[in-house]
Amino acid sequence: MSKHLNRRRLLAATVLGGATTMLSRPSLAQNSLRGTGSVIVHFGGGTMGDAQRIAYSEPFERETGIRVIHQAGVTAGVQRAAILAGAPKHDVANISGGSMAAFEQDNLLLPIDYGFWNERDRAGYDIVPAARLYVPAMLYSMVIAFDAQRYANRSPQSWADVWNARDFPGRRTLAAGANAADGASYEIALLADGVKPEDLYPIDWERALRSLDRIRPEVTKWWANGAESVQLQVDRQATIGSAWNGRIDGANDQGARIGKNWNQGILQWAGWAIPRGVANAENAQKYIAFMSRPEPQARFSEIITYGPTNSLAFNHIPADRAALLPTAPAVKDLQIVQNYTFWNAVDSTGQTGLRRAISEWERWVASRR
Amino acid sequence: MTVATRTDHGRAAMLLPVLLLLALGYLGPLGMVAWTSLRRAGQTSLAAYAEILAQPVFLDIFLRTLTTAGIVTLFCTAIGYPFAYLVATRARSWAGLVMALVAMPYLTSILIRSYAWVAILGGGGLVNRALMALGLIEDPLRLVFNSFGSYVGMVQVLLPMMVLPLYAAMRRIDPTLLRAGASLGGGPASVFATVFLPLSMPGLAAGAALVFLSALGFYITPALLGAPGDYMLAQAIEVRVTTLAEFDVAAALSWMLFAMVAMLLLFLRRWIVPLGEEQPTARPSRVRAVASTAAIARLVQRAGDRLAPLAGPLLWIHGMLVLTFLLAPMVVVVLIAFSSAPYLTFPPPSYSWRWFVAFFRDTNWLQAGWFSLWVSTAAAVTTLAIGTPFAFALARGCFAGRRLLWLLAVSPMILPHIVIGLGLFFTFVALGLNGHPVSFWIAYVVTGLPYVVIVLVAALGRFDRDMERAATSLGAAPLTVFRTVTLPLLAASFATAFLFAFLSGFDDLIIGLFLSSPRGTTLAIRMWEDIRLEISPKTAVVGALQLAVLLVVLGARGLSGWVGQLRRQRTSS
Amino acid sequence: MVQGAGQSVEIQGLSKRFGDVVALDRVSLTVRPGEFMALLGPSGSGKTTILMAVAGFEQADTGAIRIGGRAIDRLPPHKRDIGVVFQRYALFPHMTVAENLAYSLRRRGIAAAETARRVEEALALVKMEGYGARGVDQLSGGQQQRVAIARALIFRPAVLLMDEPMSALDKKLREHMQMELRLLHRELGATIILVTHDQEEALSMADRVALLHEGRLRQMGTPAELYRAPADAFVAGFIGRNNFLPIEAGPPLRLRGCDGDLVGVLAEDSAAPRPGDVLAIRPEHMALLPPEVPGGEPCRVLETAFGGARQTVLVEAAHHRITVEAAVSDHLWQPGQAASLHFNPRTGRIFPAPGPQ
Ligand SMILES: Nc1ncnc2c1ncn2[C@@H]1O[C@H](COP(=O)(O)OP(=O)(O)OP(=O)(O)O)[C@@H](O)[C@H]1O
Ligand SMILES: [Mg+2]
Repeated sequence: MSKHLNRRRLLAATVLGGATTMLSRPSLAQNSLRGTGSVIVHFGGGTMGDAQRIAYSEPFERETGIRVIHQAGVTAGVQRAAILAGAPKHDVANISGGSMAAFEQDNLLLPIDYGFWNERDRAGYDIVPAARLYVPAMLYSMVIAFDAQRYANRSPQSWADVWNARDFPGRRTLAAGANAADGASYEIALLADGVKPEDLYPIDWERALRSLDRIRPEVTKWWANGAESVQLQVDRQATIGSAWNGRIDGANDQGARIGKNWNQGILQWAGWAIPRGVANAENAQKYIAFMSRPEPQARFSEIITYGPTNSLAFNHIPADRAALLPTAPAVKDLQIVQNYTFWNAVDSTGQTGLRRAISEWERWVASRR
Repeated sequence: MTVATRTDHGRAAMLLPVLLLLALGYLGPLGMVAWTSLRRAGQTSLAAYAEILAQPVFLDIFLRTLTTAGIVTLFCTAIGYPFAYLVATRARSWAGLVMALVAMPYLTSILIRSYAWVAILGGGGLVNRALMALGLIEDPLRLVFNSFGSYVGMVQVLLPMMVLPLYAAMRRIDPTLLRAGASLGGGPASVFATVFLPLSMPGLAAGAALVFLSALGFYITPALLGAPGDYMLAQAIEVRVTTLAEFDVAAALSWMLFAMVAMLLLFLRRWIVPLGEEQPTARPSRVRAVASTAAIARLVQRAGDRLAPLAGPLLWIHGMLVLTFLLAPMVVVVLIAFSSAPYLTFPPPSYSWRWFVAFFRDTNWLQAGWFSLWVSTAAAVTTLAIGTPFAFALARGCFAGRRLLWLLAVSPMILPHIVIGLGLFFTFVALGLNGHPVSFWIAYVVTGLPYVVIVLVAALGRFDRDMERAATSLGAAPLTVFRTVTLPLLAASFATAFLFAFLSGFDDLIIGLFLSSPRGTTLAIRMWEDIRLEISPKTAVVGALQLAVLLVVLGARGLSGWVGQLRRQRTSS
Repeated sequence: MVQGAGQSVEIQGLSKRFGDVVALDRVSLTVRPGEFMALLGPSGSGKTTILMAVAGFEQADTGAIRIGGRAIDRLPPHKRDIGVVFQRYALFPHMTVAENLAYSLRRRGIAAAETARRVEEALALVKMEGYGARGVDQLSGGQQQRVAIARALIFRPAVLLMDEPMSALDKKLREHMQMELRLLHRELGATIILVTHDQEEALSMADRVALLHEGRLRQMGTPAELYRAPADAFVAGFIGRNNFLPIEAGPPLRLRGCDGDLVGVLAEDSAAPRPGDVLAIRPEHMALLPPEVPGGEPCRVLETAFGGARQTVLVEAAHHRITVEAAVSDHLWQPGQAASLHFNPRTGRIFPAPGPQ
């Protein structure tokens, strides 16, 4: 571990050192974010946490003099309860794209103060724009994951291939439907059934479930969380399935051999936001402004393969690394950006897509046991 | 007359601390949750309840949850009873080991504990590999990611909750009673059925209550080891809080669960709520009546008497299997802790200390570990301090409403913790305690209380009060009687209660997520944060370290007991 | 062991119900300072309940208890200074014998050296020297009992309550312990209330005996009083042995179906016979003589039991079965023999017929 971490630290430090000398001039032109006090920010833990600390928090502290307090992340529901109670968990919260709309609707977030930003950076958010109440924090993709050795000759190219047990024998793993939008299993089921990406929304629940019926006998495990999706493949409990691209790269960095295919990947994002009622709103604005800059974003993507949200960051990412990122120009268009508007809109039955996904799943597992 | 009021005052004083705590840390928050369940869009309405009733799938989930909990209870009884019997009657020197076993499943994060089961039961897992090597099967059996796996995971965690109260009850069964039974012409099986079984009933009832109520709240284990069809109510509630933020529906579901379980408990109260007068006489006679009405029972007993000589060896084999079952995942976890691999894989390619180094370098984890340790200890001590007089008043007083008080104190085990966490959080914010370590302390006292009340009420039900009277007549004041007589004689039960109370806090993740703040973050949260996205062997280190501490404590105890025995032998000879 | 002055125990109008069961019904009795009182009665008659009330473990519904003239209703049990020997000893299994004995002394803050000395003394008193380090589960039943008695005595209580302390012992050991206890009583001077349902134990040990039945005090007096002048048929039957014979209300007074006049048989203080009453006469107050001796009831020997100096003989006279105790020196009776039964004068008593028991 120590060797591993040291290598990573070293890498980060070189990048950092290079960055400061190379970029010292433009950084003069940047807005001053100096301040006092502290800011409590969402902390991802694991490799994600390492990336956040090295790319964002440590340089932010050095530049601004504001102390960063890392606080373990919580689920959207807990965060929401915390804001409603008037005691948000973080000054800088991290909320998944699927949940963001609900926070917006209920007016739980403070507007982002773009006055702290460099002008050109906001325009750099060209895949998912930086909005009034939130800023995309990272982009990641739910992609086809498979045993690279077993399918070395012919690997699955589409979700239809994943559904094709004859040509691609092996046990499957897909996200349980209770993960709703985050698991992307409904979109995946429709794509496998031949629905064109542009016709994906609104989701045809019946058709999606019928498609899931077909793959069900091949599925060894409907995974409950991201760690599981990859662990099942590492242990060869499953050899084809869905997983987040960053998780696949993370495992491969450490010696696993999981293949991935960007085609028909479901591009998702999580956003930074400032809850109403935080104690350090201004420092939170500064932290978010700092993270919007291309250089720290490039550093972040050096450590973990979650694509930068500010496309200007690609100017600072070596080509071989960029190729691994979901937002790399070459693969960007193979994927489908998940439609969170659909997921949060109320349908004819009076339910949001999220809620519908969960109750359909509950019915599905009960009726077709 | 004056005497009566004095005992009333005394009883009130014994009940009060728990009632105050429950009012502050439980009823208040739950009132808030109840209110939530009745509010929709700023108005009071029953919409949440109507919505639930309109969807038949919820009935299905309710039934599945209750049956799953019931089946787990049956398994735990069938496996745990013979094991407790073995330890209590033939292997008392194992007692310390049994205590340690309780802690075993809690020593590590639920994710890694589940992973250990996958490593054992999975397609390429230890069991399948062994069976294939022996040529017994050709293709791997499906032992996990189905209901079987889900039950294995749940039974492993809950089995100790059955074994400990049973053991405590069986230990106090006077062996002369068994001899008396034999002298009256009973064969081994009938003596067991007519004497031992009825006398062990309070322990069985307590164990069953603990297992059943805990199983109701399980959802991560079924989600990780089961099939999608093993979807439990707690998961439906959890997803409604965390993903949908539908607090009203989650609260309404919780209340409906509570109502169902409360009804079930009241219906079964003779069996499960071992209070007051119905306890000593009614139960054994009923068992006897049931046993004697059925001629079949007699036949079974006669057959049992024939087979009795086999019982000894069978019990020992069973005991070994149970130990293996309980310990196997921990062995896997310890091996993983020494893994040299950067990620989780079993068996590890080679062994190293790297993850221990990583753990001790991480001040976040060390701090969180320390915080968890002291806050859970403080809570367990408090729970025992206020729960003991409460249990005494319930077990020994004859007053109206005892059963309701029992249910009240036990109910934090019935309601999903996510709902309790939600209510507590709002309360603490309102009280200005948000993020303060005190909030963890109160929360863990509330969640630890059911264990203390269930275990102690069962233990006190059969306590020989002449012991206490003797001490009193010798001049000991009530507290001294408790300290010098009751406590040492019920040491096993008190230790069990303390351990459960401690572990309920130490193992908690769900409430902790609501309460966490820069001033207080528990180890469970750190582990969760670290392995949500990737399961690293670092979490296994925590389990291995705790196991080591446990073994040292056990070893020290065993050694001191042994030295004491030696000394006693020397002085008496 | 230093003499501790006994204190009086006065019980007035004590009543206690457990649900529907009336365990005590207005029981009043007074135990004098230093007296040895036995509470005698069949199982379930309320003996233990009285002890528990005196010791303060059970609250009576009504009534008052005074010790040494002081009302103790408000005194918590641990301040009453009453030694109790429990029916099942209640020795602390997690302590050694010495620790059991030292328990009360430690509660009273007595110094370690003094405690050790008194523990030795107490062990010597019950002839258990050298057993201090034993665990209580390593003792025989009789030894456990002696420890229980020593434990109750060691703090020199003014009143000692004992609940059937000897029920678990074999006859020999029991007789030995009974003797020891009497000696101890004389030595210590404490007031003792001993519960027993063994009448011989009560009669041989106690200064006075209180006889309970179904929660009520039936009679209290010296053993001789209870034996000689039982207050009712129950007492007459419970203390010693008795034959209850149906009579035909005279005059003349006759056994039903017999001719002999029995007037001379009645004790001077016996009640006058009324229809439906019974005559109580003890086996030892009759003589069995050869059939030719006149003035007796003719009878036939049914069964005999040899008892050393005396022989117990069951005879049948006019369809009544009667137990007689005969001196062996006279004659050894055999079943089937004819005899004549003679009642000693002024020994029989008339009672209303006892209810079903
Ligand atoms: N705690 C109790 N609850 C209900 N009934 C009780 C209780 N204690 C005693 N009793 C009843 O009160 C009556 C008197 O009981 P007590 O124990 O005083 O009898 P005892 O004379 O000591 O009998 P024994 O010689 O069998 O010990 C009995 O009918 C008994 O069943
Ligand atoms: Mg008694």
